[in-house]
Amino acid sequence: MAIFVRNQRSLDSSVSTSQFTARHLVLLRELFLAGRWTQNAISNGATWDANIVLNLSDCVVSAASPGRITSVTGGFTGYEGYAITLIGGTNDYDNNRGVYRIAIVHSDNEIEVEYPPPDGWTSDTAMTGRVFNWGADSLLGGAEYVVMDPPTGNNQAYLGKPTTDYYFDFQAHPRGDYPNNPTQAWQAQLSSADRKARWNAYFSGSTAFIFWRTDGGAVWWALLFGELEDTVAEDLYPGFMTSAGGADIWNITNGDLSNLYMLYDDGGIGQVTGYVASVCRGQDTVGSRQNINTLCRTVKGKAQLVKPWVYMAGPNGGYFRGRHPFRYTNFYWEAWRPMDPAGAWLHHNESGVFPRNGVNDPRPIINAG
Amino acid sequence: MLHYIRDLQFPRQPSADYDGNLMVGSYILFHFLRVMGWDWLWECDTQNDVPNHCPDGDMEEADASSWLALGTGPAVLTKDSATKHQGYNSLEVDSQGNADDGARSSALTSMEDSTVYRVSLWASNNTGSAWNVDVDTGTGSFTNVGTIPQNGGVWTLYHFTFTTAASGTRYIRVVDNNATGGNLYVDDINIYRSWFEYNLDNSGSDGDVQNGDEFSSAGYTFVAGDIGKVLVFYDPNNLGNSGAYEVGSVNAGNAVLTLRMGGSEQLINTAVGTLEWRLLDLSNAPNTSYTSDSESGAGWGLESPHTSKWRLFFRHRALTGNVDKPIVTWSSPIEADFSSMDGHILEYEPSTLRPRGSIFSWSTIGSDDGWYMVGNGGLTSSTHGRLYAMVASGGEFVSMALRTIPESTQNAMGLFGITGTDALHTARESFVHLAKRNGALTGGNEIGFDVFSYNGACGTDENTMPPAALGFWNTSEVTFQDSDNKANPFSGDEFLQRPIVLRDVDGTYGHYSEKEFDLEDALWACRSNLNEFTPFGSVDGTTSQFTLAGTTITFTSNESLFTADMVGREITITGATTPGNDGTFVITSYISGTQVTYENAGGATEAGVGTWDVGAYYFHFENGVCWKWPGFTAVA
Repeated sequence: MAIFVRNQRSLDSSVSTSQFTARHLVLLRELFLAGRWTQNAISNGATWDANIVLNLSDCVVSAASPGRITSVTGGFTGYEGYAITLIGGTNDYDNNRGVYRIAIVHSDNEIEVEYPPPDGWTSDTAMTGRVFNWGADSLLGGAEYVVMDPPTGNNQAYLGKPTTDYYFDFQAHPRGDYPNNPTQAWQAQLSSADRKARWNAYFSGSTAFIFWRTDGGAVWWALLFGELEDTVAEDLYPGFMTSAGGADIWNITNGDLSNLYMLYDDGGIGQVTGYVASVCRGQDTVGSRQNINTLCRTVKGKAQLVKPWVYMAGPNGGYFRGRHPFRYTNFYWEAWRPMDPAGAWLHHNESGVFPRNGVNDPRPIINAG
Repeated sequence: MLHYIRDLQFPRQPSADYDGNLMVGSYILFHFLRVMGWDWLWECDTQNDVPNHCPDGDMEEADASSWLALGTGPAVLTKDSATKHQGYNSLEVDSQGNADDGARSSALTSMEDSTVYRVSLWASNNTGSAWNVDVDTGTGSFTNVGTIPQNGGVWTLYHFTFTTAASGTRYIRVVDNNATGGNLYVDDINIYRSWFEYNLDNSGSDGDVQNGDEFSSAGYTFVAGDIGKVLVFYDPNNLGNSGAYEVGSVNAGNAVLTLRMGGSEQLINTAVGTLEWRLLDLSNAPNTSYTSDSESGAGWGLESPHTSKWRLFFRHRALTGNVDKPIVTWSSPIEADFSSMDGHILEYEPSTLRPRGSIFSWSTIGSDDGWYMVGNGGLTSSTHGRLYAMVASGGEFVSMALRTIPESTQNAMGLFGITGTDALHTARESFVHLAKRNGALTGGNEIGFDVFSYNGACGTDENTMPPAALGFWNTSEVTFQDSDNKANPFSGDEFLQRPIVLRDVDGTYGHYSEKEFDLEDALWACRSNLNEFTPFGSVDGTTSQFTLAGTTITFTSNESLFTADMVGREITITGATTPGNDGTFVITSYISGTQVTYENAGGATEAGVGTWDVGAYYFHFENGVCWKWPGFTAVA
């Protein structure tokens, strides 16, 4: 199973760039927790927690009531437009976990959320519900948050708010030894025009994939933490982080998402960048063709999906290290095209193919509002 | 199972000149394929004249004007488009029941005097009796060279031989000498001087490997005069035995083979008495010595024993002067019709002759229509050729490589055939023809994926042959074949990737299907800075236990490193307590990752100490091109 968050959106409000950065980071924290990542470290903890306006432990969802969340304890009144993080529960189903925007407050004890699981809730009780205030601006410069991936306990994701208001920082610690041995960091920079966003996320095992769109310049952002697959047994820290921001980021064999920030152990541990490889002809080793993946659209009617190798630019020579957990396909498939009858894969754009939550999973909305 | 020619070294060809090495390689490969069961299809002997000396031998001219009706009747000659062997027509010879009724060719063209010629002829004879095949060798009278028996009207291939007279005009004819009457159908008459099928010293189907490096024949006693010749043989059962080996010496009637392996490695002895073999004198091979027109453009066509009956043609390209002499190659993924006049696959069939633009024509080779193997040493005096071949026993594919010594940039490789099937690719769709394409005869090193596999063709279920190439995982940031590549630093493992057949159906180099070349795990890409022309990839471990039962040792390793494909490979064991447990043995069965069995009557049951090694899984040519390897070391 996997945990999906689809098309959640922030409030549309005039806030400072600093506030908007804070909203991103606090929501990211909630997404990681919903995705079963566990908290390792936190600084300025009170400022992070100040965004949680309601913390319930008796939330109930029912397959018979799609989109509805109830709580005997309640307290939902006034939180329409806020977000609720739904985790845990008697059975703790992946299907229910996520971050949802509260669309309607039916009563102090019952809400209805936008984009609930596409095939409905899996009935459960005693779930934790954390209602998050989109509008809070409580994170201080220097606020940091570190979470560990669930299955291996090796790869840590670092989220930070530097002192410059409109930045946020990300990096991985593939050896799980924060604050030591970080990968190369990525720093995103919002603009003053960014005032609202729409969020999507996918969590499965050690993979955490979060992408969102802001309205300032209609920009996509993507953040991916994970581990390479098919690595050698001796490779004890195949964790990586990759991220991208821009109007066109989905080409995982050429765009920013093709750069995987990792650690090497080649006479010493250090930062290294891995690159997602595409297939090119023998003579195209330095030409341009391998940059644009134009994998055949179909073979006998079946869309081609490739699980690409990842190549490391080690300081003492490059080598293939493993495979990327996602897929790529023909560059020219239309954006947001479902790729398979089972609903497992979705082509985002320009060859990048990412997991899909079944045939009823709604496609990502490209409007930030 | 894969079968190899492993580094057969031969003196430069021709001895007084150079650039003929690749032709000699083609000659040896032909015989290797023949002993492996490939069917003969076609030969030709010359470029400067017509490849087939019989005018209208393929019967594709619209009428029978190239043929003369013979006899009292006389016979009635027509072109028949319904009853034919291949192409559009056959020659129908309607005998009126007279013993001299028949058909005679026009004068055979460009014949050499006092020379042995071969005739191949397809016939459908349901007349009830045999017909004669006669040749006027130039004497002015016809001599019988054989017969076309009553064959129930089943198209059948017949071979005949004649020697031209010292001068004169030559003809061939078929005659109803039994005066039976009726219609004889004749097609694809090819008259040629054989540089391949009949150009050998000896052959047999009665061979065995003995004493590790000797070859015996029940019907032939090898003699001192065979030293220096090349023995080609096929052993279908023992990995690494088949090949082409120079006869280094003779021992009690056996040929002692030069194995060109390091250390004490040897072949696997057999006791079957059925190995197919041929003995070749390379000094008689076509090698483009510029003095013989007939050999300069010699060529051959063979049919694979694979169920698809795919077809492969080689023809040597004669160029004057000390320049590279390429081999032109063409193929079809099916049992395609071809012209007996020039070996070209007919236009309605899928073939490499017609994937793009105009149909390939012999006269335009050198412009933009051919697939070449090139590699003779260029304008330097190469002193040796070193030949490699890898052929799948089922006839799925064949690859040939030539290395020149002293090392130059003019090595060569080609690869043709089926690369493996999966749910989305039939055998036909996985067929590739990979050799250097277009008119650039030289340039670069010819063993490199960027040369021989860059601009090929592939088959399709729609019977087309669009452009294709081999693809590799690569990035624009760090290229796979950069010289600074290395093994995985965590494990020390080499990364080898299967080439991927890229289908470029629209010729834009932009579309491909994901089909790895996985048949027999034969072809691989490795980092390019591994040692050139060197086997690598041995598997090594330490010994845990020997258990002897009868003559069979069950060998247990401390490490789980054995794999099923090690059966047939040799395991070398050293450091055992009992000396009889040491040695090199052929693995006969795979039990698990820690256990295999082999025969060693001299072994003993004991707790093991020491080490074991299953050697050389791969052979790196150069530039990252690797073959799966049968486990032997190689000479430098």
